[in-house]
Order: sequence, then structure tokens, then C-alpha cells
Amino acid sequence: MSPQSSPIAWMELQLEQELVDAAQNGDRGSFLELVRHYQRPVYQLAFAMTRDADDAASLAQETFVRAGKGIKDLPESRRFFPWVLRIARNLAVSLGRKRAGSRKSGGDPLLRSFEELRPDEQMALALRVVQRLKYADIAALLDTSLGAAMVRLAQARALLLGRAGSAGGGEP
Amino acid sequence: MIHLTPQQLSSYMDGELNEVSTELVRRHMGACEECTLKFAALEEQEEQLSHALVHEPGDDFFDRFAAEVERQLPPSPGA
Repeated sequence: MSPQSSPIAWMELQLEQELVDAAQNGDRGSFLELVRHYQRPVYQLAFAMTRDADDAASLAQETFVRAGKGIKDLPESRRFFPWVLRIARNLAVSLGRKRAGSRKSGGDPLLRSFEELRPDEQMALALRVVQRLKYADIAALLDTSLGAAMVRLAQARALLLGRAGSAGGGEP
Repeated sequence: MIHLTPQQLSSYMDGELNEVSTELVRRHMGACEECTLKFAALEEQEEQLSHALVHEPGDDFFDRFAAEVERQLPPSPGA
């Protein structure tokens, strides 16, 4: 049986706006309430992007620390979670560059191929595989259209299938 | 024979096609071994990914998480 994770439960919009507004005015408790609500999905996505528990913990912490420092920059029209996810994605890309010589995939051709996907393809796949999100939510989180999210997911899966197949189909 | 596209297979697996498209995919796979095999491979890959990409560090980790974030933040202006 595959490990199951709960889909991201979006915070109720009005509550989130109130918490963001208070956090932007210096209320640390409100910011930490947002952290507690989204910490699990951010960690899980960080793990999917790094495949390492320590890296994922550091990345998730750093994501929220940066969010806390930059909360005033969050536009009124933007939701908190996609904004935080963008921070996590950028940190994962930086970390990936630093770790380029010491990948976590070992000999697994599927994970090696996953690491070769573009960050947004990795993120789309992680949102679907790890969080079991519907396309509408994936599109909202990646700040793209539903059609583009659908294409990104299909391309990522087809690439993995092709690369893993060719990597595993040669030598005995 | 025209085969199913990667988008059709992927969206069908996720249950994101409308009723008409879902029925078209089902009917095609009933008659096309190549697409049926490709779909089975896609499902197997998804199962492997769901094991490899998921990690649950436990409730203790999340109980301490927000406090650790707070420790790394500069004091709030009102503090």
C-alpha cells in the first residue's frame, strides 16, 4: 500500500486574510498560526524536491523564516500558500544546484530522472503525487492555467517513463 | 490507429477528464494493447513515485516546527 498524505486543506479565505493582515502589522502570533496551518504540506513538498529528511526540514524552516521576514511583500490579492510555495521552490532550486554532485537518488533510475525534470515539473508532480491535489488547485499553486498544469504533469510523467525505461532497459 | 496522447493518459489516470473524454479513452484502451500497456506503466510509475517522494516526520517534528521558525526570526516590532 502506498503511503497516503492528506490533501492540502486551504485555510478559510477570510481567516487567512485577517491573519496575513495582522502578521503584516507585526503580530507574530498570527504569522505562526499560518505556519502551523501550512507546515506539513510545505515540509512534504520540500521532501519531494530534496528526497532527504534533513534537507527538507531545513528547507521548510528557511521557507517560513523568509516568509516571516518578507510578509509585508505579500500582495493583498495573493494567497499565502502559493506565495510560500514559490519561496520553497526557489530554495529547492538553489539547494539542488549546490547538491548537484551528490544526488540523493542513488541507483534508482526513476528518481534520477525525477531530479532531471525542471523544478516546475517536479513541483507539479509532487503536488499531485504527494498531496493528491486536483488540477485546479495545482494550477492555482503554480500560478498557471488549468490547461498548462495538465500539460506540465503529462509531460513530466511521459519524460520519466521514457527516461526510466531507457535507463532500465539496457544492461542485465 | 491513432493512439492516446500523454495528456489523455495522464488526465484519465487522475480522473480529470470529462465524461465524454473518459468514455473515449476507455473505449480506445479496450481495443488498443499499446495504450493499455502504456497506461499500466504510467500507473506503476505513479505508485513508485508515491513511495519515493513521501515522507512523514511525525507529530513531534511539527509540534516543534513553528517555535523553531520563531526562534530564527528577528523580534517582532511589538515585542
